[in-house]
Amino acid sequence: MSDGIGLLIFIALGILVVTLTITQTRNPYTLREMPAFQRLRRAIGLAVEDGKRMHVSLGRGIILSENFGSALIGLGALKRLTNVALISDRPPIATCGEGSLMILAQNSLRTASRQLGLAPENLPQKALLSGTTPFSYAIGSQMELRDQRVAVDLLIGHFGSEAALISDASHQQGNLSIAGSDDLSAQAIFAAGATYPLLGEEVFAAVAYMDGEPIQRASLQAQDLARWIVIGFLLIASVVKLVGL
Amino acid sequence: MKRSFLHSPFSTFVTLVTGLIVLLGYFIDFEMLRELRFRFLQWGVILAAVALMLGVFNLLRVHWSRLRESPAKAVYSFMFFVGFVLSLSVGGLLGIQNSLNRALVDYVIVPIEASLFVVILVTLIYALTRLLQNRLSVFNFVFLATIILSLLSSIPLLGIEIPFLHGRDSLLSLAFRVLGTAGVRGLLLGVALGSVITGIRVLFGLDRPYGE
Repeated sequence: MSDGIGLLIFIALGILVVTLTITQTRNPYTLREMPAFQRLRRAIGLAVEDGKRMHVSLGRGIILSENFGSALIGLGALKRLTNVALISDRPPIATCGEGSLMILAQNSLRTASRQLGLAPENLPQKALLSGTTPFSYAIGSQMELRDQRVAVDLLIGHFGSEAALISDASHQQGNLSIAGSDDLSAQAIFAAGATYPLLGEEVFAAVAYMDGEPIQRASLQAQDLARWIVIGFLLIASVVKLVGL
Repeated sequence: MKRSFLHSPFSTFVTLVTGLIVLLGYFIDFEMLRELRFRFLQWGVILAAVALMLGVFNLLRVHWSRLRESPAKAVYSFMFFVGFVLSLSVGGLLGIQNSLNRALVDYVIVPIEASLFVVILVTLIYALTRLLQNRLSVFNFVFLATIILSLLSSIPLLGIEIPFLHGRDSLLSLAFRVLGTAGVRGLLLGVALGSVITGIRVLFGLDRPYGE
């Protein structure tokens, strides 16, 4: 693909997202039912009542790499969870395997706390770098979710095979785990190990299901539309090749 | 509560300008854009390194508080500090290329990580048995069947090669190549679209997952 076509696709998607955001107030996009997020809403309420924590594992996506997109979704999910769960005694914790991700996660927690009017000394310090290599990150996260009375684990970000260790620790604690990644091996591991695996692009829909903001719905609608366009293009291209044009 | 000037809209503006310059520098072959893009990426790398250092301080703080607050789990944190001081002093004083430093990597870190790979294998087998017991749906049945067939086809069964299962031209191999590749491409296309749209949201300041 030439650079010009890439830029055109980016501009077209940008215009689509902005246009759909504007039309959301009049014509909101209906989201299909996803059991993972229905269950999550119930689990958040139960965790707050029981005085248990929610744990968001953000993976180890590097800020300058192409796999940071799923980590941004994880950060968005952390912010939404904190908004809901900060009223409890035990605010959510976040673990990650990358320094810049830790700083952004701390910022997410602080922003949500400030919006609730918490004094600076009461702001949560619960975004941790649990390890700097894949396995040390997984083992560190395991320790956190065992020590902190966690009830819900949300694993959203870039993971590798070390995700199996976090997912297994979550199961051993009897937690609800909702897990998604941009990495295919992590998706296969979550398909076996998580209570609710998010496959393919489902992980990018997580924030839209956690709040009904027009921009989130519009993004999902744009994503769905773009997918249909890609499918159509692939079908046409296959037929053209088959016919021999 | 007093807001810092670093919060939106200033930081949104910085995100937008730097993001657009890096993006355009990638797509458009223009000397000044390319130069700016390269400079911004360099700054990004430096900032990422500083963030890693801050992360290590965070890790030390967490283990220090564990050491003080939880005597039952203090042994893990104590071992962490021993390892940290050891690797810092060996790597810092003798240099990364020193034989002692390489020995630390070869005889301590690599074997531990290798053993964790084996733990992952056991964990996955356990997860599969759980899948069989608790969540046997059509999707999970296909998932399990694919795993079993790919395991069977990867090695000859007791030294015997079964025509449909083994070999590069077998029916199973063909099915995996066609269906597997199609599935992987489908998943990757979904992930790519999701990543691009998330990028657009953040780039234009429509969504700030890490701030106000």
